[in-house]
Amino acid sequence: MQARALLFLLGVSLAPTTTHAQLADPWNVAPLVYRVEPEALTPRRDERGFHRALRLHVAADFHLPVVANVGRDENDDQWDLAAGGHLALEIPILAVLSVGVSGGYLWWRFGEDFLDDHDSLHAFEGGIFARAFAISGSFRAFLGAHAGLVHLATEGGPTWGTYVGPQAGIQFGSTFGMEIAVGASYRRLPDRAPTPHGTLDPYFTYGFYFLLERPR
Amino acid sequence: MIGPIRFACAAALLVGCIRGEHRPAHDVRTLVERQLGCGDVQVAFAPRSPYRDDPLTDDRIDVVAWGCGQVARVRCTPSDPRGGWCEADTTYELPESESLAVVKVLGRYARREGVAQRERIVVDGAELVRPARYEAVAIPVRAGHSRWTLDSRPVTEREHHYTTTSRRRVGNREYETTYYHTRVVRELAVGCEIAFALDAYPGATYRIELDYHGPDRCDVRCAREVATPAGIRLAACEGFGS
Repeated sequence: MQARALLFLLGVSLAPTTTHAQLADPWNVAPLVYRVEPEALTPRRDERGFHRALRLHVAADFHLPVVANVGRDENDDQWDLAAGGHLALEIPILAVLSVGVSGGYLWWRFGEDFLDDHDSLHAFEGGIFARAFAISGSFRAFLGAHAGLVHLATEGGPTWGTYVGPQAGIQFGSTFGMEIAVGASYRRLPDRAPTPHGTLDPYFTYGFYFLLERPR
Repeated sequence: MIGPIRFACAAALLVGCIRGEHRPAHDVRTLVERQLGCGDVQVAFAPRSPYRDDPLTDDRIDVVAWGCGQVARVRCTPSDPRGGWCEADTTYELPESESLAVVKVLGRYARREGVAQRERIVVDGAELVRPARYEAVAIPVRAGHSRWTLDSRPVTEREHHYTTTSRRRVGNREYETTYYHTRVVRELAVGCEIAFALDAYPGATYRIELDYHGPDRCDVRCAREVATPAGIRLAACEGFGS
């Protein structure tokens, strides 16, 4: 330790100055003293990365055809459709898997007269989902499943049901990105008639996501 | 044909894979863990050592890693975790020894070739790299016997031209765009290398001078500085020779 202190002092005493005499002497240099001390260094945390950050989704949903004629006789399914939107929180697990919660609103239309208020109803749904990803750079493709509860505001009083189904899609972007997905929901509504198309409700989703954490 | 592709896509989705994610600390930790055979490694990016001022392009990351009772200094290329690698960092370090001597090394050049002259000084297997300068470099070394190698080589530059192609399909037609790139590549030309041994006294200061005349033509001299009231006098080096 003394030797090192001596070297530092020597370094200070021999440190080149701007005088002409010292510049002219190439041997007049201070010892180059350097040693890495691991205990003085801060260990690096693992970076979270884009694919390990929480993300919030805001999306628009389009369903066709839907469970449109709940409790009614179907005459014409020309206007059987639904549109709405949802918010979802996606929690990555090991980057290539994620789980999440979602909640959304759907406006369902059915019947012959598009402008008839009696031929529509409001639905709220909330549930969970899980996805497996294949990732290349900022591009992510996923395959997943979702399940949850649906609440229908019908004229005859509120109705609760369940849904479950597969989903697949792509995401691209970094801290802000876009998602396109397709999927289907198998819906079960107690004491209600299914749609002419069965209880399977295919849908298309177009939305955006925002990372809620800094990827580091 | 569709079957295997479908199977590969399904397997990729189920198993999951990530390509192209830039996480240098994670990649380096993985590489070092593999190299040390230790599953609990801490890594810190070390500041670039002043003993390594390489005129050649060097984008490796200097890392200090410790774990399982080991400390390792490594230099890593983590750009691709699957193809990345780390190797032991042989850059010189101040010895922990209590008895030190100082060895000043200076290269003298009759004429310069290339854009720079790269000097590499190897002391008992540890190396110091720098571009040739007017002033010497003073290296604190452990007193006693040491093996030295001085290696000086011109650095040349050449332009490397290469092309990349991108293709995109619109409808039934495929459009191809070719991009032309130019990159300056720095390379080492033929220089000279000379090896010798030195027995350094504790507290002594030595001058090693490399006279570079051209490729494969150089010689080396050594002198010991002796401080006198009249100034510094030069004396013969002890144990200097090949």
